[in-house]
Amino acid sequence: MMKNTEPQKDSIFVVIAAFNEEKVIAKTIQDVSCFVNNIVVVDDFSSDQTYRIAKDAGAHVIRHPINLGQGGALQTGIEYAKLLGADFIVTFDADGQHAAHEILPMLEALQKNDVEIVLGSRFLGGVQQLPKSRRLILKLAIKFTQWTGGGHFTDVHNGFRAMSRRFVDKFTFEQNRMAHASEILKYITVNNIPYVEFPNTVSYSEYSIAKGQRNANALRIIMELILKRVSK
Amino acid sequence: MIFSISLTIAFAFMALYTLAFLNDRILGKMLLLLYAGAVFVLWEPDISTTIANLIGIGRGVDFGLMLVSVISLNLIIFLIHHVHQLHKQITLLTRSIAIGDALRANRPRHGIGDSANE
Repeated sequence: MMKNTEPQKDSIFVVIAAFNEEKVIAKTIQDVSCFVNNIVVVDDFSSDQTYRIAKDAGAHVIRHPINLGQGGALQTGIEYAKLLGADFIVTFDADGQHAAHEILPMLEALQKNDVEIVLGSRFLGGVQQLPKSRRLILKLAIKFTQWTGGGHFTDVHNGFRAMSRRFVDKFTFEQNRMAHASEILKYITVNNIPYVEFPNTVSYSEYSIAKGQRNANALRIIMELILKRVSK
Repeated sequence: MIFSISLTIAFAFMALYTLAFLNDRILGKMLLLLYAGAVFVLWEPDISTTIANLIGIGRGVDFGLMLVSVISLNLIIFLIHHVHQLHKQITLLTRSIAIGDALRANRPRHGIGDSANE
């Protein structure tokens, strides 16, 4: 069923997890603020000036007293946004590799398709300067997600998502670190949550490649997922 | 056969994981050798009997070793569970402190006597 209601700008919150992002966070906030009023930056115990720069740039800034990891930081931001009355929450990477102008079209897709979550997909959209080794790891991650019952998705570790309030009221990121990206897909699949994938652009820069995940982190993610199962 | 294949996959994953994330490179390489040896013994079980005979361990010890392995595995699982619970509690505490601080920081401040002036 198609709906035509547009989300109210004040009820949209963009949540950005940031760890030592002083070089790029101001630009990222500036880009996002062209489209959305409410930006929540969760400073995950950075040792640099991320907190101050994000605050000066006009974002709501929350600072963790210890480092939790990206999943933990996103959940903190989501809970804060919920307290401030968010109806729509978008998760967005701090390193500037996502395109802010795609936020509103993603939210429109959420409304028009009457789904609870829209997942960004770099392989449906465009990906610039993606190193070959990273492409291989991402493709293997897609297969791994399928084999382990995590569902059929075209991109599995994309931090660009638009979520409805209904979804975030049910779902909580329990994986504090990078495995949160697999956790959410598993939740969507197991609980038959209505979703769509949205073609988005991911631009890799020298900074985002250096700052982003090491390829070896794929092993760490698998380990985190195994340990989660063991400790249930 | 299935058991051997599963264990080989588990050992290979642990070897790669150890090599990728252990800071001590020498210890990492030693563990890698250990895992390689374990895979070898897994597929050539006779060699373990030869080694056992060489150092005077009889077959009767096998049961004890298996028992110890199972108990150790169980202990590890309990420990993982315990650590996971601790992580959860630390996460909740951290989140609560962080959100509380942010809400306090954004709350409008009222000076003494503000209400009297209204």
